[in-house]
Amino acid sequence: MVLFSFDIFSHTGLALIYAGTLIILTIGLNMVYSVLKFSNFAHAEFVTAGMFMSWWVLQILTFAIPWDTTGEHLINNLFIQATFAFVMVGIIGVLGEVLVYGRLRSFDASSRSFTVASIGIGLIIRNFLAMIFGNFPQHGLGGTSTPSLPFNLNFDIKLQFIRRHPIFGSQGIFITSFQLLIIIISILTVVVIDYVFKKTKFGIAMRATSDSFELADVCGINTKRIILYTWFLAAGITGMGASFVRATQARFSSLDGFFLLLPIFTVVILGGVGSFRGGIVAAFIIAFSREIALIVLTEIQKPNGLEDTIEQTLGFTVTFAPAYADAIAFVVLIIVLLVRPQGIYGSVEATRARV
Amino acid sequence: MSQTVLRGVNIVSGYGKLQVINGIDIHVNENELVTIIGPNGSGKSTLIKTMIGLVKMFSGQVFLRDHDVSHLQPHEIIRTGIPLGYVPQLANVFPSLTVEENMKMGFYTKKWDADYSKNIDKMVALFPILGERMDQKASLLSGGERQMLALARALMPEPDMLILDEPTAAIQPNIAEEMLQLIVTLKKELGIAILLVEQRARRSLELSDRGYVLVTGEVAATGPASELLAEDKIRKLYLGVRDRNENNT
Repeated sequence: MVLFSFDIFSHTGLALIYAGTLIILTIGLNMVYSVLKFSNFAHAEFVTAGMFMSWWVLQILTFAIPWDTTGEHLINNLFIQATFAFVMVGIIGVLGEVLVYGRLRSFDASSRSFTVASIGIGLIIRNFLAMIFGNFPQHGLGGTSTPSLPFNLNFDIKLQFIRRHPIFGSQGIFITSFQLLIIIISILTVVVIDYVFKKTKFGIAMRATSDSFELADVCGINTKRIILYTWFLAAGITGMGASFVRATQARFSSLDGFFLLLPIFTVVILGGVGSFRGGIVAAFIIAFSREIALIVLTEIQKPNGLEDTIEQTLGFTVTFAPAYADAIAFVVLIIVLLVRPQGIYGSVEATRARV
Repeated sequence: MSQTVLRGVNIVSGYGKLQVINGIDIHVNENELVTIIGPNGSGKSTLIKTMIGLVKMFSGQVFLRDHDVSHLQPHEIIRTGIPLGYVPQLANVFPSLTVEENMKMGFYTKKWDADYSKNIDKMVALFPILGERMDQKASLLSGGERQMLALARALMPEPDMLILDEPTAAIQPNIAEEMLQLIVTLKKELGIAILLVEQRARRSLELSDRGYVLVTGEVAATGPASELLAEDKIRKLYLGVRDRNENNT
């Protein structure tokens, strides 16, 4: 008996990978959103910058350490690339604060001004990257390379136990080591950041700063420094995440981050601004609803599916491309904003602060 | 002669190009409760915000004991080593932090060790209602409880100097009276120098040692509180002629 004409486990694996990607790319946006209280649209370009930076360090190291002939351990090491992306994108975030946001803050600009400024900063970073590295780096032309992992971590996970089972499909879960890394590291990062935010002196100072700059200042908190640290961490984690995401992709371009911006925003708002654990739940909801939409759209497109039926009965063609599944984030975003604007774990303050 | 804790010399300040404070000399001695009164817009809050570094000072000097703290940022003033507590008029607690975290913020510049938990116990003894709500968010507190929490936060570092900006604003009259009594107790028992800005001019002057009357950014009158209270002109202009149960001036 064939109960499902699609492969449940294969789709589950894809959803897990997408969720991991969203989780790690969301943390930075959530931090900026909750501490500085504005929607940072330049976040998309932190992702793009992270991808380019992690690829750029490969080019630098190839010239800097030519004796590493295999390139396995230093030149093309994923963790070195991630660290480099962390630092470089963190610096980009700090530069944004120093050059633009800090000045806006000094004359009490509204959060709308910050949002509009962030769109501008995003455009600048994106086009600057495109100018330097080329707009659409293609595979084989230096656009990407698969980094290596140290400690012989290069394994592929492929669960075999449900293989060729007619009920569940025939493929099983297939996750590469890079994708497994994304899932593990994203959840680890959330746990660490959540702890830092809730328990440490630095985290409480960040939350205090987000409540009131003046009051935090008279408590002895150097608010300007806290804001700079927030930017460095938020942008850095995003850059690090982006370098992991790049490792799973065959190619990347200067528009990759921009295409991920909407699902990232949806995850932050669905999970609740300022709630990192809510972000995990939200990321899984988004990822699985996207995968379900993908399955449904594929079913509709199959021979004798809904698409054929409409064409035969009504006489015109309506296309249900599976690529429309990406729009599910829009749908979820609209529903969340209408039904529960504070998100799953969000507090009232976060809602009030939203633009 | 007791030592001066906080002294402002010829302070001129304001917002942007607008000058609000036009040259004010002010000082607060040890173990002294000093009240600043004056009509709305006379620059009471601006004056103390200038001294704590929140408002840019055009000219003049501010001394905290022997330290020249003119033109320093608030967090730099807090880090001079002389414990100072400041309770602003609005937004005086961190709403998204719990009550305990709010108190921790008062202890931010020091290590969170034994001293810290000892001081927490003191605050809980002083404000029992806060002790019951340590894990609640400050946004859930009532107006009076917020003022108490703000005061508790300011008292956490065991300050030599306490600056209070209208601690009785927007709370019930009976709690407001309790608050003023508490402030007097703090001065008497802990010997803290207190600078108070107050809307309830007469009541606060009755409790204070000295007073300043501010009008359009200048000191119109100053002296011992009893003398200010007795002066006819001030009584008429700033204290209002009312019955004893006044709530506000």
